Amino acid sequence: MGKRTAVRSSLARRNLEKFLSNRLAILGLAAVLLLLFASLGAPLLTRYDPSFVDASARFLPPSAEHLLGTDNVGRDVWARILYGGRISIFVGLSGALGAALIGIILGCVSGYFGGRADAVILYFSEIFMAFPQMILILILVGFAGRGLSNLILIFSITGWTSAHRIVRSRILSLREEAFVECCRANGIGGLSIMFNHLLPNTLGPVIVHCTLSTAGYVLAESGLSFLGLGVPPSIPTWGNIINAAKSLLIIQNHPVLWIAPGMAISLFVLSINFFGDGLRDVFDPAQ
Amino acid sequence: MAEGPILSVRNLRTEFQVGRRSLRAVQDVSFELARGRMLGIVGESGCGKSVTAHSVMQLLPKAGRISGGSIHYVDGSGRERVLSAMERNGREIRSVRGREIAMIFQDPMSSLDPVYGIGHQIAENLLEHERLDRGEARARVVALLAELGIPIPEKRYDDYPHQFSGGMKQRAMIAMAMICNPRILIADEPTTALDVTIQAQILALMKQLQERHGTSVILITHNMGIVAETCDEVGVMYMGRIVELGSLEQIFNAPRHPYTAALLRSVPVLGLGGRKELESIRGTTPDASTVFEGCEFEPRCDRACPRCAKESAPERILDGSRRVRCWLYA
Repeated sequence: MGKRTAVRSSLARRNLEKFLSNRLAILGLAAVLLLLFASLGAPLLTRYDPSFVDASARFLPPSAEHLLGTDNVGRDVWARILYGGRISIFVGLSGALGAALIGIILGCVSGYFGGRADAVILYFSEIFMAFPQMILILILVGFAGRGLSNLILIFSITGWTSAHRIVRSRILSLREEAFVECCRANGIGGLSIMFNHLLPNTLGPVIVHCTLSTAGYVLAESGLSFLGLGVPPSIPTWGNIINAAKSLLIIQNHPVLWIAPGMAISLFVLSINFFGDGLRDVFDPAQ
Repeated sequence: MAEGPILSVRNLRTEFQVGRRSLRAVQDVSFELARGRMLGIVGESGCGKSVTAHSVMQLLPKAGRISGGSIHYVDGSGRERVLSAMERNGREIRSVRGREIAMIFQDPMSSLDPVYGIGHQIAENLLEHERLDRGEARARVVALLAELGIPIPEKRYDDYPHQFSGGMKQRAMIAMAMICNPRILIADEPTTALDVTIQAQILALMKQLQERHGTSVILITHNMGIVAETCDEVGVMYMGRIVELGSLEQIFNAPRHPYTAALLRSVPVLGLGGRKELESIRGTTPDASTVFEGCEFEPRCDRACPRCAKESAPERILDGSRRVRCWLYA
């Protein structure tokens, strides 16, 4: 019995071993998980409220009391980075998942049905791709206004094109496979073939793309928040923390206030990229 | 129960749209499949045997369409259903596919979805057509896998296609086709991708299943040896037409059509004299888009007469039951 299980999972095991042998990817995964759990478990790691203003404790240097000191209105920077991570990672992840979801559904439709539906979807995706994504996001934020849900929605709407391309091209080649004809010969319907047979075969590269675009959206959120176009400043995010530290006085005299959140962003983006690259080596050895 | 044929194809004509031209892949093909019998359709690559099978199942690619003739199927309750009139991917034909008429494909390597276990895929077909819960479906699949000679079927049920060998995969494909107890099985070159020893096993297995379940089988192949071993009746196709159709004995012992005769002469026989060269049919198969005024085989035929090049040969019934399409007998 034990031996048979070993044979059964041989492919999964080989993939796992391949991933585990990639040091950088493991390091990336560890760092991502560390940041994720640190921000989820923020109340355990700090006793400060990230939004609590204490005018008597402005610009305190790092100490045992305040690990990274306090900012211009006396908020604890360590607490803000921990709680800010929640929002930043949440926005990045939901933006990537939303974009992937739209891309997958449209990709299935245009890949499997082809014809006019494909032409229309492709046409729209080309319109979206004709503009740099950042410009498009800026315009839409201008229309919709700032806010957490708006930001996620905008990321999803502007970012679906690459997932759509990946899924569409995979399905275009998969639908000519013999097993699809075999399903049809067994009387299985189009929708069932599309979602039960074609889609699972495309998921590998989509998952890889999703992790990598999460990094992109964390960066985009920070950038937008820094410019004052992202999440409202009352909510702590990594971008908002830097935004609060952008006066010349602070940049010169209190470097911890911007270096610390900057480090958090860089660490997260870098490690999720390493992790995604490791995943790609496993899922998509051809690339 | 009436002893009429279970499937009859009448004057089937299938065309493919290639750019602006339409290409005739199947022309005026008629045959009948008797209950519980095995009909072999032989011919070289591109002669239209697979297209005929796909026409029966309405599984033609988008560019292809049935442009003439009809396909009649008599179902279990004796009702005649016209398959060729059904909507291409409609509910009606889908209830026939897999349940009444099932198909086995040439390449077992790529005919299974790599992301699901073997058993799951076989059960999927069963659940599509019958009201069963997962447990019952699993039991039925395991029983059939056992019948097909797959060792420890209850464990192999959860295995993935990449863990099966070629012969095992073809057994799984047969299981997928047979799980709903279809009344007709169309096997489209089921052994071409397998090596010879496995071929023999698979054929023996199919024959055994056919006899046990009373399935009627259409076997499509280019291998004369396979036909000789398994079939009751044989249709020989060339360039989209059935040139000769008769019982196994008629075709193999006394071929009438020059093409059938030439095909049989070009099969290597064990004990062929050492210096004797194997005969081949001269010339090459014409391009499928070639339009013939006369008989398609005329340019390569040793017995062609001037008339063969001008007029298409009519079909004649010889020896009481066999049909031959050749001027020699007109």
